[in-house]
Amino acid sequence: MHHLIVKGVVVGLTILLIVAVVVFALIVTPPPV
Amino acid sequence: MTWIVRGMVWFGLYMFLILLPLATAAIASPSRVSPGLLGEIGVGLGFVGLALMCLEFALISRIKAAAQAFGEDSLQLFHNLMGTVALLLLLAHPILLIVTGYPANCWLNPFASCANAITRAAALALYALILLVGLSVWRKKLNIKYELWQVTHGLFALFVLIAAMVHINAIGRYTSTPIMRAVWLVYAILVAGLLLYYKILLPILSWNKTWEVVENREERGDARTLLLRPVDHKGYSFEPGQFAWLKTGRTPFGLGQHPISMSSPGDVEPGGEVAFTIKNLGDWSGEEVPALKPGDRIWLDGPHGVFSMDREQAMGYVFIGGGIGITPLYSMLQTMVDREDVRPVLLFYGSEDWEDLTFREELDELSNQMNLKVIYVLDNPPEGWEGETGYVTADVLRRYLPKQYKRFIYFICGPDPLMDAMEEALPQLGVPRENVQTERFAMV
Repeated sequence: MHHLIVKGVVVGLTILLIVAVVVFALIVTPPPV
Repeated sequence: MTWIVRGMVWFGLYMFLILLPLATAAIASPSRVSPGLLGEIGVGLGFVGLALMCLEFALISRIKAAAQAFGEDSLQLFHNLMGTVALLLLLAHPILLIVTGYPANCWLNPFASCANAITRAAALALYALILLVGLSVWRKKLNIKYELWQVTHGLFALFVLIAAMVHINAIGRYTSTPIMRAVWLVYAILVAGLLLYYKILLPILSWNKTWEVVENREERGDARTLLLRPVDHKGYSFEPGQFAWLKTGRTPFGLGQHPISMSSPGDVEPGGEVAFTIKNLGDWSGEEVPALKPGDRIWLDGPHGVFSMDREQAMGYVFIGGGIGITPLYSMLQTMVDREDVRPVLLFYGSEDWEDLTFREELDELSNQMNLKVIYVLDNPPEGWEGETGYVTADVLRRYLPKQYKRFIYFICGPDPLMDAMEEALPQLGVPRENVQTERFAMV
C-alpha cells in the first residue's frame, strides 16, 4: 500500500481520536453546580 | 471478499477496539468526583493511548488475514507511527491532569515521599514508553544491534502495558465498575494471547520444520544467496515477490528474525528449494549469513507479503528496483519465464555502480527469454558508459515508458529515497495510484 496513504490514515485517525476524547469528556463531566 | 472489503473490516475492528474503553467509560458511573473537563480529557487520552498500545502487538503479530489486506510493510509503518501517536497521547494524559491540580512531584517522581504504588506504576510506565519509542526511532543512529533492540523492544512494551494496567486498576475510578474491569481484562487476554501465539506457539509449530542450507554463494553488490531445501517436510510454495522471516541459531526461540524476500521463482513444487538473497548490512547479514555452510539448519516463517504480480493482473508491468530491492522483482521475472508469460516488462534498476548490480548477468539472460527490457541507472558510471546516470527519476521513466504506460502496473522496491521519489514521480506522470505497488525492505 502507498505509504502516503498510511501516513494520511494515521493523521486522520489521530484527529478522530482526539475528537472522540473531547466528546467523551463533555459527556462525563457533570455540569457546574 | 475483496482486499478492500477485508481491509475495511479489519480497520473497523481496530477502530472499535481503540474506542471501546472510551465508550465503556462514558456509560460507566465512576465512583468518585470528576476532575473537570480538562481532567476528563486527560483521562480519556489515557484510555485511548493504552488501547493503542495494546493493539500495537496485534499490528505486528503476523496475522495473515490482516496482513494480506494491507501489506506487512504498511502495517509495520502504521505500527511505528501509531506507537508515536500513543506516546504523545500518553504524555498529554499526565500533563492535563497536573494542570487540573494533581501534584506533579508525586506523579512524575517515583522516589518522592508522596509517591505510592499507583503513581510509581504510572511514572515508570511513562518513562519506559519514552525509552521504548526513543530507542526505536533512533536505533540506527545509536548503533544498537537489531537483535538486541528486538528483545528490549518486546520487554519494554510488555513492562509498559503491565505497569499501565496496574495503574488504572489501582486508581479504581472508572475501573471500579465491573464493565470497565471486564474491558481491560479482554485487552490483557488479547495481548497475552498474541504473545503466546507469536513467541511460543509459532516457534513450537516450526520446531520440526527446519530448512537445510544447500548452497551459500556470493553475489554482486556484497550480497549472498542462500539456497535452502525443506528437511522432512513439504516446504512451501509462494507468490513471486513475497518474503519470509529467517531465523538462524540452534532453536526457533532464539533472538532475532529477519524479513528477507525470496529470490527464486514462485510456483514451488512440494519439497522444492527456495532461495534468499541477503545484502551485507553488518551484524547478522555480515557475520552470521556468510558463515552458514551447506548442511546448516534455518527456520523460516512465511510466505508473507502482498507485493506480488499474482495479485495485480495487467497488460504489462514496470518494475523499479534499487540495490537489494531487486530480489522480489527478480523472483517475479523468473516466474514469468517459467510460466511462459509474454507480457512486456520494463525494469528500471538503480545502483551505485556497474559492478554492484546484483543479478546483472542473470537479468541480461532473462531479457533473452522473455519480453523484458532492463534500464540500468548508475550513480557512479564507469568510463564510456552511455546509459542512464544519477537516480531513477520521472525524466528517466518518461524516456522509456510505452504509450499505454498508464495501464501498466508498477512494482517498486528499494531504499527509502527511491521509494519516496517514485511515489511522488508516478502520480505526476499520470499513473493511477492504485497501479503502484511498493515494498520497503527497510521496514524494520
